[in-house]
Amino acid sequence: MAKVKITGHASGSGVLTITAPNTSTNRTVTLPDSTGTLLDTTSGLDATKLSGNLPALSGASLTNIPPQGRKNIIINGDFRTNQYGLTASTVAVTNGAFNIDRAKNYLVGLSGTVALGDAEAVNGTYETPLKYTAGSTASGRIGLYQTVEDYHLGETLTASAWVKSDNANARIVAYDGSTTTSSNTHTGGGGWELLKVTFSQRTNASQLYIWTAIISATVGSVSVASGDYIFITKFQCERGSVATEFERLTNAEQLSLCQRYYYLHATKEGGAHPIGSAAFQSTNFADFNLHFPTTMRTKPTLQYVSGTDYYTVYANDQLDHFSDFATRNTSPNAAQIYTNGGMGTGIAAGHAGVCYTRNVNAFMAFTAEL
Amino acid sequence: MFTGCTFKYNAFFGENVSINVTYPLNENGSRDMLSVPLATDNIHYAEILKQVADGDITIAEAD
Repeated sequence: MAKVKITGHASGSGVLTITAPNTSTNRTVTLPDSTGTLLDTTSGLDATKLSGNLPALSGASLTNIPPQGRKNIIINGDFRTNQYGLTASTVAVTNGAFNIDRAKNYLVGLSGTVALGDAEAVNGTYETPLKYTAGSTASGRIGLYQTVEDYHLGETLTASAWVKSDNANARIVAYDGSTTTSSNTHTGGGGWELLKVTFSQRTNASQLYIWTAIISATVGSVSVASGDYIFITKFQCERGSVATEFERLTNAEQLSLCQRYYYLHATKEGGAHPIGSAAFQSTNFADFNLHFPTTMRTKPTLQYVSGTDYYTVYANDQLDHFSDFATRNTSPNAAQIYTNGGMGTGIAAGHAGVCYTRNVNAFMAFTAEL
Repeated sequence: MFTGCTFKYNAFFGENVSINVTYPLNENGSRDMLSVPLATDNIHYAEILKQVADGDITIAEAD
């Protein structure tokens, strides 16, 4: 039979008392079959023993929980929204222009190209990165930046991105209008590496620009050789001082966020793409209202391609081709546009019709970018 | 942003309402075009105002 032995302590002077609770039920308390000290209110829990199924826990008293909800203030950081139609075919980079939603090209002192890279595994998920390649050898800068509309005044933010480059000056740089803060640099070894930087926005910051580029720590030029490249994906900026896993949005969510800044209304692809319902004000002038799917940042600019008879209005059982538009009244929610010359087949005032593209190169978009 | 472009106001009932920006001809004979609202937080309009102030461009009056 195993026995229970109660042993005093040679040095102490206190008296330990074992007290019964107020109960009329017989109970048996079984001691653990191991050496150790029983838990009490001052004991620490051994983390290695916290295993198995936990009971339901209330979070009412939890503190220091990271911010919840949408966390990435970079829009389209995985470049899955692509209203501009960038493909794997390289196109020449123009500084300040867009080749994919919300990623503004940054090119100084160099020529270069941009394209979508092949899908590949990046830290556990398959991504289609954006790829910039230098086309000349010089002191320069190449990559992208995003202008963030909400400055997050006075907050600590952390930007991160997965980057592949053969240039050891690939980095992230944040700029609040006064201060630049640089991430760690890529080794230049040609593999995927996580770059991250934590920075504080001043309470009176005037902007928030975040570059991911081959660039100096102060947004200056560095040595770049022709053929040097930078692949970028999982571009993120979040509140706090920790770079967490990239936040993946659904295609619909991300498209809606992008359309605040750029909305492709009629594509460049072939076939007839509807533009809108038209009303003839005279025999050579029709106008129509277009409503945007998302309220845009500001009154947007109408972008289109003009070419001989690229567009047409079908009304009163006849077609009236034309080449140009202009905007009249524009709001962040809608645009009132009209045919700007070139009509005249005799469709009379008062007729209504439908307007659409009739050339593979025709397209219409609205931009309210920063 | 506006290399080689021309600029012209667009009027409606005598009031300027937008600026038409005409880019140089593309290789296929088409042109890229902008119709820019007169809104100061529109980056195209802000850039046009800057370049006018710098004396780099002029805007033709509407027809």
